[in-house]
Amino acid sequence: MTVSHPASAALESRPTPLLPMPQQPANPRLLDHPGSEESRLEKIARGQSAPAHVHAEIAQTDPVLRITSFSLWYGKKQALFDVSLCIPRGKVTALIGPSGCGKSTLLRSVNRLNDLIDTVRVRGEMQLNDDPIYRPSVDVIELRKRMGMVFQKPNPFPMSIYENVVYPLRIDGERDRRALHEVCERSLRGAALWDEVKDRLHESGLALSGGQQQRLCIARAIAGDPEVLLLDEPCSALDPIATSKIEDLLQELKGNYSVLIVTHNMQQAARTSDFTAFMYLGHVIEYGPTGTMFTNPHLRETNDYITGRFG
Amino acid sequence: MNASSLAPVTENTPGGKSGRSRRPRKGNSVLAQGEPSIWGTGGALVVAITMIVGLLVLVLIQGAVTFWPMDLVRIRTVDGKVYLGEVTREETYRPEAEVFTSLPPRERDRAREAVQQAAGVARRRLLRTGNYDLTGFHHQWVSDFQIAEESKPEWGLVVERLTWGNFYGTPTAFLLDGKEVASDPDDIWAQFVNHHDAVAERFSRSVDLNRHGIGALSRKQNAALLARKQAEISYGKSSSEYAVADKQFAEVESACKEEDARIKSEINTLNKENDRFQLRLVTADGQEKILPLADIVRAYPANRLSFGDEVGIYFSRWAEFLTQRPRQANTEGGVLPAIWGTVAMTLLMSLVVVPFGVLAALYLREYAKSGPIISVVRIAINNLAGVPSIVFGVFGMGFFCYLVGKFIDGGPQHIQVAPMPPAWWWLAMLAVVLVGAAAFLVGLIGARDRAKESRFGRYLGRFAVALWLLSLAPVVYVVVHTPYFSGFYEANLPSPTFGTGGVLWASLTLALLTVPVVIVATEESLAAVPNSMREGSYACGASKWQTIRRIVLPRALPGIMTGMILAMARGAGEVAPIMLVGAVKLAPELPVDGVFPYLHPSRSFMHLGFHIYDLGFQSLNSEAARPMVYTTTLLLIGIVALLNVMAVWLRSRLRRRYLVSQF
Amino acid sequence: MSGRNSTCRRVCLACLIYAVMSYPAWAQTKLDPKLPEYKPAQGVSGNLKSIGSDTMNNEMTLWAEGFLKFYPNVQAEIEGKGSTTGPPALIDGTAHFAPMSRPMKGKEIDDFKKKHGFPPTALPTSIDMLAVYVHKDNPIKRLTMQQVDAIFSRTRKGGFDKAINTWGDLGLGGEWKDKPIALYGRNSASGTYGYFREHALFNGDFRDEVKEQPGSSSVVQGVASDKYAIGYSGIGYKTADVRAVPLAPDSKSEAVPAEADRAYAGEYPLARMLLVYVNRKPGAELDPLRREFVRYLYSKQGQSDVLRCGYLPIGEVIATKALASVGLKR
Repeated sequence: MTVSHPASAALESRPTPLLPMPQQPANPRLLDHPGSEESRLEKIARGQSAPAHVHAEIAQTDPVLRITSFSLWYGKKQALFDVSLCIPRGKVTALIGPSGCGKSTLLRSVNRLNDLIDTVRVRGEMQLNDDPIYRPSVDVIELRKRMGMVFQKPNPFPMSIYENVVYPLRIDGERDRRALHEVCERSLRGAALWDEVKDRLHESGLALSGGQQQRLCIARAIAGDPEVLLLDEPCSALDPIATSKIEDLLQELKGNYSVLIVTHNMQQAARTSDFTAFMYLGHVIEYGPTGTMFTNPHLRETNDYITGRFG
Repeated sequence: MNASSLAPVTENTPGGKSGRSRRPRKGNSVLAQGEPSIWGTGGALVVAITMIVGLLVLVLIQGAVTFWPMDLVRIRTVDGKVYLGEVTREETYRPEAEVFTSLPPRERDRAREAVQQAAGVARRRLLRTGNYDLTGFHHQWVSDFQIAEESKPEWGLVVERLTWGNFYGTPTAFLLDGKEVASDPDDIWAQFVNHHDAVAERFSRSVDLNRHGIGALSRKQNAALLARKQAEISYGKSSSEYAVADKQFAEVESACKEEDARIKSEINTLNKENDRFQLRLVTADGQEKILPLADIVRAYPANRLSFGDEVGIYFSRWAEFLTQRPRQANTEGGVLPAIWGTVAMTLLMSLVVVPFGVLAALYLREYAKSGPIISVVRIAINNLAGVPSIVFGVFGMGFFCYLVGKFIDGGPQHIQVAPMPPAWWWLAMLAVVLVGAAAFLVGLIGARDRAKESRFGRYLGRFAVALWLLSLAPVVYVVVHTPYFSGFYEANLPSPTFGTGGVLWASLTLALLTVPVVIVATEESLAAVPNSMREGSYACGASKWQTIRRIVLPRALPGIMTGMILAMARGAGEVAPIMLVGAVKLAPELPVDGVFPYLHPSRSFMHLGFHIYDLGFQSLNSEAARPMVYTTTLLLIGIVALLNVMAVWLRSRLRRRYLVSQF
Repeated sequence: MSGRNSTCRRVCLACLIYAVMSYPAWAQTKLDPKLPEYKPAQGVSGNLKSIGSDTMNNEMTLWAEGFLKFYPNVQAEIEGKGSTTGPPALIDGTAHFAPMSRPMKGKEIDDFKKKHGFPPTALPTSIDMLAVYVHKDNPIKRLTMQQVDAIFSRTRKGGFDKAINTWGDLGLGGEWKDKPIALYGRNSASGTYGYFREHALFNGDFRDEVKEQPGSSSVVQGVASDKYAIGYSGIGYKTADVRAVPLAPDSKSEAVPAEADRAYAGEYPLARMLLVYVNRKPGAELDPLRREFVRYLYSKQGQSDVLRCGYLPIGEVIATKALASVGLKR
């Protein structure tokens, strides 16, 4: 599963899995492209578009975040193509796909972190609880306060554990010590870190271990009571034990929070998420409940990817 | 099977004649293993360290031994001259043939023979003989072959005086009220030790009274005088304001006169008491000299000192050096004003340069979009660090002292600028204010439009900046041409207050000199703050400024401190520019003292670096000044090191707070 | 301009003659007992600033130190970066006193007049002997002024027939014969530079090889550390490491050593007046601070300070005359 080169290069060097393989016991329910023997992935690699396959179950959920034909360019290079997704409330949604497929870009577009890059242009719309995200009248700062984000590498701030957790409140100008302390404890408990750090809240957050640091970041992300929690490969820099702790934590967060998680690790997606979207080269290929996606994907391309035939 | 059949073949052909000969592996050569590069790099480091350590050791040794008391040597030469003094230096040389002809005939051959036996080389020693008021020279070279008799007189006395430099002689009497009370050296010395402390105490009290008591009086008087003069300038001599000021001045003057007389009589009593004690000494060549005890800073019988006494004298000299004001055109006494001047200037400089540099670096690194203009600015800043410091000195003198300073002193007229007629001035002021307000408004609208991603907003922003710049030059023009300002120190003119070198201007000049250092160091430390931290903060909903203030700056603080340390080290050691903008040979008033307002930014100051230059190149008695050069250098290095250690300590504390990271 | 220059020279000459008159037959440098003792006055305070000669830097500092003993609340600032820096500061009003080791040039006086409408007042304060120094081991006995010119200048206006490059050219033998002469001098901002050029080089030009030093003392130190060196500097900066060579006006005359009585007698060729310029409107009174400082200069204490820095004090006659020139009685 380790992908160190761009997916397009991988495609060229290993074309075989993309060819139709009749000897493979194909899923009888797999849909073929109507009127074409050509793989969607090949079409996309050639620069053509292919519509996403969205399972019917999605339509029955209550979306917290709605992404509508969203496209994004880094300068001249297009990174997202007409992405449309509905992220269900109170569930964990995983974004999977090979490196460079735009998962992280999509995630960072949700809280408009990509605005920090000068060359980024976007088209399309997103809505958080029916409030627009990409409208000139939107206050980005206020918008970001409604979301929490955890990054690939733990990035605690150079301050104490306590200050790290209450940072979102501090920047809001919250001075009430009782409120601050309550939020701190609640968030740290929520991130399953409270018992480990409750005696050293005023030590530097940078003195914690990597896994603890990442849970500290999760505590920080949930301190502001976000409407959606964005996790960008939160376990990729952690060892297996720390990873499993975070995964357990995700299970606990489910229900209270709506989570959108980007992951490279298929098992992780399968274990932790309720819904899974498979992305490829800036396109959403298939989106559906995790169980179906991993056991009975509707598309052969998804099947190929989750069985490790490419990517 | 195959391998076993091959193996004996290779073993049988050690020279490698067979097909599979072993090519000598280049990896084994010394060159490939990189030994020479280790030696090369290590050697370069050793050379660098040796040079630095050598310099430090030289300064340390030369500077440290200066104050150690030496033995007194009494030498009678063959031509009948007698010298008493300390040996400061010795060297060997080849005497010319004529040297011997000046000796008496009897000694001539003996001396010539002695030198010939030593292969034509003779030793000579430099005696510090002092007694400049009697002899007209401070030092004397004596060659070994000139010596008829050499001894260390038990009661040879070294007397450090307030004026005229050292005196060397033997005591013959202690005089009380002009009468001899002791004539035996032991008794004289006992008397001297008995009375000298009290005399010194009285002397310093009279100096204190003089400096602080009378000083305060005349400050008061001066202020009243200046107020009267200001009233005369502002309202004219016939005005009521002038009458009030005049009356006040008269009151102050009469009050001061009384107080002045009281203090003076007190000083007089002290001095009279001191004048009773005198020491009579005789020099090596038999001249008698009476020295008042009040004139003696320190005296000691050099050849009778125990080790403990020597240590005591050594440290008392250091104490004098560090806490006293200079005497004898800076060659004697202490360097207290120079220490104060250096420290005050350096701290003032860092106070200016750090916020300024950090703000500039913040803009460059955090706000400015990279582009050709920013590149040019960055290159310019880096080049600024390479501009010779004297250029800054010239700029500081021309701009700060002669333009800004004179404007502060005497207003527009004083810098040859004709003020505008009031009506025109108000009109211009109005125009400038309007342009400024317009710029502000345009900027505001632009900012709102920029948030809406419109190109129009971006253009508006540029237009606002242009308007700001456009209003900046007229602001300067209008301020400079104001008809309503005639200087804060008008009454003091023509003597300048700010219109000449001063500690403020020196600090500002050095701040300009060192601002690139701070900018570059700050930029580097800002760049070293991981972007993930910034993103984390933004993701929490922090604004850019909140992110900078709460995350970026604390994290970059150690690096900023490094910049400050570098700037301070450079600023404290710089001499060339401050010579032009305020460092002077003699400035007995400190730039920072206990008199309100405590910091006197307009005062000239003494500076250790300039003091070294002065001692080294301008001093009257360069032989005596040489050790002082080393001692002052040692002190300057010590102060710079101390300032740096303080900053480094602060930095490491900050680092401990912020930088315990596993990543 | 040259006319005014010569006036200045005449003034100095006159001063020297006065000096001679007041010191009939003194062998030793001593104070004129007729000089008055300094007595402090009332109401003296303020800021005393002096900018000018580097030769007189120490002298000014000693005067200021002595003066401050009487008036501890006076703030004295002494800057000495060369005589050339004096006139602009005096014209500008940035300095109260401009010590100069040479008389002001015509242009400097013109500039002063343009600003103030009257010429500055020159106060002769002490006498300096410009000495030609060699290393203490140098056996040279004497030099004529023409030789000095041929050593230091490339123009040789003194009339010496050939350039002098080695010590052998001056008649030294042995190891000295083919050793080139190392030249040390002052920088061009210095009055010493100007004076030496005028009187020892006969207004010629210095050679390019002259190592120009930033201070009078560094010339002496340069000569002290270089065995084959020669340099010129004030007599006050003499140390045990150097020797002042006796100078003869021409090859036929006797060489005159740099000694006080020979300077007073007017025999030493490079004796000069050290001046302090003040800005005084004719007929007007000096303010108390400057008045008292001038009075201090011409007191016993002030002239004893002159002795302390190795220069020659002036006599009571000049002192009285100088005091009169700024409207003071002794």
